[in-house]
Amino acid sequence: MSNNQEFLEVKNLVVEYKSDGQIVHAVNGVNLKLGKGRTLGLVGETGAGKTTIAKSILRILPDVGCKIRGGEVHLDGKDLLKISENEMRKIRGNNISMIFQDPMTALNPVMRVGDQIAEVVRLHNDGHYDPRKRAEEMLEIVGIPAERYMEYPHQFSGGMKQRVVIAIALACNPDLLLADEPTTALDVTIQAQVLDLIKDLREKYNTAMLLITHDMGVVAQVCDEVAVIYAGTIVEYGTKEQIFDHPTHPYTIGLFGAIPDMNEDEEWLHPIDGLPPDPTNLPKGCPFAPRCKYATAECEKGPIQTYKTADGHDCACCHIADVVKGGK
Amino acid sequence: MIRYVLKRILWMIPIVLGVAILVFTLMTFCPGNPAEIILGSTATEDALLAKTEELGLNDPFLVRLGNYLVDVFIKRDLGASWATNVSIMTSIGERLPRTLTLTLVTLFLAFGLGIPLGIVAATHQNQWQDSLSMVFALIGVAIPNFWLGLMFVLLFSVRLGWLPSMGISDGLKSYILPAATAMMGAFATCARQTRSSMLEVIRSDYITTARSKGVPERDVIVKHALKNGLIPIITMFGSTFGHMLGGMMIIETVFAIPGMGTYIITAVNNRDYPVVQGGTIFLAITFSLCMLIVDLLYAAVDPRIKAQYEGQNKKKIKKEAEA
Repeated sequence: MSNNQEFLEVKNLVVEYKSDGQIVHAVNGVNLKLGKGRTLGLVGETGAGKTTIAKSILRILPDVGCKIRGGEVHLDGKDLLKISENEMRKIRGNNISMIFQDPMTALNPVMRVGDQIAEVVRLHNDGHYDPRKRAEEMLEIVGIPAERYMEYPHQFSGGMKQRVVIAIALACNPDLLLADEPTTALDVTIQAQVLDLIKDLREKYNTAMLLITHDMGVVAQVCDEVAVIYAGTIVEYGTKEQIFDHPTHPYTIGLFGAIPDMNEDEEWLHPIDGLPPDPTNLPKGCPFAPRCKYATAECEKGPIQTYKTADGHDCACCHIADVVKGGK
Repeated sequence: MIRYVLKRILWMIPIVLGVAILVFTLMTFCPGNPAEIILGSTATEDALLAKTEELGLNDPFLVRLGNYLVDVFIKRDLGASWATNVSIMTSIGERLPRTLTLTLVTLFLAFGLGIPLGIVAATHQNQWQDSLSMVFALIGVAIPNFWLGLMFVLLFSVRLGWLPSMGISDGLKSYILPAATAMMGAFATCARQTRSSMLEVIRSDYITTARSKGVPERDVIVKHALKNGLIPIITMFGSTFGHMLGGMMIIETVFAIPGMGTYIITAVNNRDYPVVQGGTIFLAITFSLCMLIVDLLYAAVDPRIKAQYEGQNKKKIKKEAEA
């Protein structure tokens, strides 16, 4: 891996929320790397801190009670956490844009959809585009007739709305796309369409993408690399093949175990026993230890080191050898 | 849309008719003989009988009600005051512009200050700006109008001599103090309403979307959030407007403005039934119109509501087509 080519690099990111006087440790020292035009899947269950990471990169976390405690976010060598709000605003929607989870609520209900697309073009216009023409073009690109420019979000179905959200995100040809569960709120047939659309457009414009999801199927379809996140820490990191063929972290193995296998006659799914730890009171050692069948006293002692199992395949577990032997 | 407006205007007919019947009936069954009130307690028995006959009070109730409704709705004449014999329409025509001016200046101040204050409070939730705004708003609701009015007169008219203390002889300038007094309540409610409505909107996903597009924070609030948070404020605007047109009695009394409020209050005190009835009917009409305007403003602000209005018509058209 040649570090010079990394386009996005998140180093040791720590984010905390304050809630009812307690501190919620949402993201605890996360490292991510993403090359130009590559797709990284960020996989984990609800509340693992995936959305918080994406919002931290864009610096759009809520003002009240939420703080980036430490870390760096480098985009093309520039630390986004250090630049001024004004500079950051020029990057949002232009260099980095985001697709949100719920298309039903992501669009302004009292603004014409065309204007919502044109707005982002107007904000970052360098004279190349006529915002209105570009918005119409984007509508066509995502498969909506340009005549619907003047309509309002309530006149669109969920899948169509998500297409509009995608059109907004891609209108300025961003270098990095943060897709936060872009298909979760859609029904299955529409999911496939939207996913294909994102894939096509990403390839066409060579956009790097951070895809947040809890759906392994989506990961398999779209991603180059995968980061598995648990309780705000990355527990396993590798290429898609490495993660799918040789999962080494007990949590990752558990995730795959929870997917029903169509080839075998299984009566029960295999969920991971227990619940994720309370983010206001995380264990000192491995956050997964309380649910892990390989856990020993060593796991609870302190922060877990990351081990390299292969080139580019990292795993934060002190029992890798046992897991690999006993796993699968 | 036009169909919707027409339908609403047609609906006003039964409403106003109902108000007319109700207020006429209530006034009829009020104790006391109007003839005696008009002529005073020293009037002779004969004079009283003659006056009663002249006012038509000897006719049966239904006949009088019928006559009244014919006068009001067909001849479009509200009658004349018993006390002054001046046509009620003329009096309203004279007084309404004053109350209207007072109301408009009041609303301009209340919403012109209340909305920005509410926005500042919402965008600085739980910070000192928020607390300060809300304390200010609380004081606004808590201070009684008549007292504040007198204090304003004391300061701005008596001490500083900047503004007239009463009457309407100085044009728009005469309305500044009364409006500044009257606006306090509406201003405070508006600020609180704006704050809570904006707080809800600011947390919505589409505001995050707007931020993620790189929209400057000021535009996020003004262009994206405010329009969405406007609905409850419009509702408040409409009902305040309607109430103020008929309900500025205290302010009009304190500042000696001969407007609609004092007109109706004086009429109630004098048992001047035609004026009370006429004034009430007139206010019912203006209030209904205010509400219609509010509903139309909703449609202007929110396309979903507009679609609803139009949808109702479509459903009806469909039904008609099927029939």
